[in-house]
Amino acid sequence: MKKKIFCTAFVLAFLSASSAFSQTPKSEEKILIAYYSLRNGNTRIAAEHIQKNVGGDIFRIETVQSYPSEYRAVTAQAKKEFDTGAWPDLKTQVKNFENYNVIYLGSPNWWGTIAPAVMRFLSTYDFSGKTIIPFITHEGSRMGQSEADIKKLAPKAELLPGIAIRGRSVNDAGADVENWLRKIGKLK
Amino acid sequence: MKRILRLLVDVSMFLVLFLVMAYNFTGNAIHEWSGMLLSLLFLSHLLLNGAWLRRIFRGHYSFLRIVSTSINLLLLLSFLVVFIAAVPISAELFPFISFSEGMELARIHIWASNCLFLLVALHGGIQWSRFKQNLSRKSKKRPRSLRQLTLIYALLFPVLAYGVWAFVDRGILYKITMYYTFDPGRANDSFLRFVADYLSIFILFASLTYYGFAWLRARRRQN
Repeated sequence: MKKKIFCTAFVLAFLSASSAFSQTPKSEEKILIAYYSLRNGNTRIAAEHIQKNVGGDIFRIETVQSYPSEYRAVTAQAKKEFDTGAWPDLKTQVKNFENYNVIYLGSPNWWGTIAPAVMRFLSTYDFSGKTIIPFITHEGSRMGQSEADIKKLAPKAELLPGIAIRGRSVNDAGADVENWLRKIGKLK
Repeated sequence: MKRILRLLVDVSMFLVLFLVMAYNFTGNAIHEWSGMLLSLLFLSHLLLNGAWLRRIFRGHYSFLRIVSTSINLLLLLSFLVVFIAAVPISAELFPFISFSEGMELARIHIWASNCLFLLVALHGGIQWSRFKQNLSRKSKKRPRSLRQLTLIYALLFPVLAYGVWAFVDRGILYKITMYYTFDPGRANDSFLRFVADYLSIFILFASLTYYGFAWLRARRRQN
């Protein structure tokens, strides 16, 4: 009898200890990491940091027409798209979007919020009942209004606290991403 | 008269400085035109104060003169950086000039303009007594009464405190070290709040040099 109690206690202790050290996500989550990046740079790296921790499928949000290569032309076009609501058409589609229940959504901070391509993405799919977790790359403007705008476009989704990563130091942001994931309960 | 012209140019520069910094409220076109106006005012300021430039290599350099001249030269330098970085990313005044690393230039432009703003404030503090003298032709130097001083300080201290808070809140330190470039996301930034913040930061830095110089001068007189 004593041996049985000891064994059970040992097994339970081992399980709880191992879960403290393991970094596996909750098993019932079907994870999509969808990101938009103008030159497939910083935001992509941020997406990869997340994937390293929680797994899941990475999907790159791409526009049919590419933006101009020059800085002020891009910012001018983006401003126009924001002001008129004429978001760009998307080139690729997520396969079996309905099967995902957790979507990490990545965007650079453009004019204080998520990029127009991401707005288009949010209005293309049905996010009801799903969890959206934003990650934003920026050069000072941090999250901006992105969380409010995501909420507006996907009102029936659950929104978890996002992370803002400075674009120029995204390569070294692995630890910050891990801490954030742990803080929002996505890492054991 | 030269004195009136100087006053007009200085006051206009101060006002246009705030206009040009209010990029998020005015949009790009007004920003660029005000920038050009500010450049012309600055040029006029230099011409009106040509005597300073001519005397730059003459005379003894006390500690205060070194500080004051350094601030002026840094101001001139940062202005040049702001202007030169602006030209290739200009959409309104110089759209025909382009450059591949536009984002990097935008970063440099914003960094240098924040440095310029602080340097203008420091310069303003050093020149404040001269500016006040310029305002009134009477060269009375009546010392202020205790009541006047109390009133001045009672008004000044809250502004200075607010200036410190605004300096932190607007992330100025991040901007002058180029760690961050853009303003932290503010959903409801009002023009009034913007002016209050930057005006108090201006007064903070101007007070630093104004009172700093006054204190150092008084100490030197004591010795």
